[in-house]
Amino acid sequence: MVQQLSLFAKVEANQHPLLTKVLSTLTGLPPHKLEYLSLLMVPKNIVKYEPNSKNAQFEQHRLKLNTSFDPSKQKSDYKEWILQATDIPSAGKRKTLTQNLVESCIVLNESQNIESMFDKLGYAVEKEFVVRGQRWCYGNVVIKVFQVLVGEERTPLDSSYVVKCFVNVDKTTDVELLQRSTQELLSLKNELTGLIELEIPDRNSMDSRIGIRK
Amino acid sequence: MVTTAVLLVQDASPNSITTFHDLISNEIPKVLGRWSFDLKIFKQNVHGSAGGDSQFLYDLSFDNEQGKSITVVNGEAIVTTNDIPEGLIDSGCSNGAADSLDHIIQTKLQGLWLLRQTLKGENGNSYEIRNGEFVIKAINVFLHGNFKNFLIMMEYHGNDVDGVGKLERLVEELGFPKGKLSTGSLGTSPQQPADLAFQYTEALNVQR
Repeated sequence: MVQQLSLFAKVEANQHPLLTKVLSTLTGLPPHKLEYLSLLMVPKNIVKYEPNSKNAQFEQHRLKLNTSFDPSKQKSDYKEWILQATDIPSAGKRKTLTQNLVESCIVLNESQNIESMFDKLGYAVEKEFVVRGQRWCYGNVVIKVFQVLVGEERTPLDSSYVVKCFVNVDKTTDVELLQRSTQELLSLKNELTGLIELEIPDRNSMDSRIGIRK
Repeated sequence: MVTTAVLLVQDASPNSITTFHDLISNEIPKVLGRWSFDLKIFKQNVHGSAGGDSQFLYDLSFDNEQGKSITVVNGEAIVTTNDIPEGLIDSGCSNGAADSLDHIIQTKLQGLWLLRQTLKGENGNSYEIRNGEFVIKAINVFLHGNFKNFLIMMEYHGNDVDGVGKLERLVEELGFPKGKLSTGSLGTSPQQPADLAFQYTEALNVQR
């Protein structure tokens, strides 16, 4: 499990080339590629929340599956996947979005198919999209600038770009490390002020729970 | 290709377990060290209904292979690993901290699967005999801290196509204690480590 501290911003398409230049200058590095296919999984049977019933004890979650995108491949051809599950971001007055994240790396054999595998587990694909963009490292901060592509044609959902800056903290109990990481993110935010405004998104929009308590 | 089999010994006693280790010693084995395993048994949550025929989900993990686990559900084996492939890290898919799948099932899939039992194999011995052709691993299995069974796991590393036959002959030749030998396969063709996980559930009779 890692704790992810993050800040987000939106950049219009005409500002994107400038941002790319600025980030490459700031970090002193050319961008690294960022391109993966994501499947958003939901339970096949979503249980309605009924107060005081026994099912109120259990929450259902969305899961995400990521794999390196390859346009020549069919969905069943991908044999390596990262399964990702997230908690709802921590509440309270915070300087960054703070979210716990668990991952597992699944390796399929030749005859297996990710969709039928998750069908057996009780999950089905809700949405499919490709994330395409660039990323940089700045100290411990990872900066991702990307678009979300949808449909068979992989067309951008929106002409603008999403900027996500984050630090993953391995030891969730290390308060000093968390403070230092927060500081690193905030100083990056300062540095980029004027070009982009890094902000904390609404925590409810980052909630993976479904069906109940909503 | 490695062929495996799991032998669950009936009516094991301290005496018969020592006798077995003596038996192996006569083969002058190479001692490979200690091992242990966890077999977690999940049951479908009646309020969630994951669908499918099976009411149970099994998760097998070995202590000496941290992060690796095999999950068996509805005749499908899900194999997870700790070594994230380079390509996935390169394209930005991963945040670089791989946990075992059972951790996600226990925390995020509670609406569908609930942990009911954990069978623990503790402090087992492993031996390599006949110049590495066979690996024999023996272990005591506990349920809720009480001794439940004595389990012997066998691996055949040779080139013979009929690996199962080789293992069956070995059991007879060496005079292993009596018990239930599981050599089953999950799919139509042998596939490791999925078959091994299936054999564990078969041997320990936790399939329903």
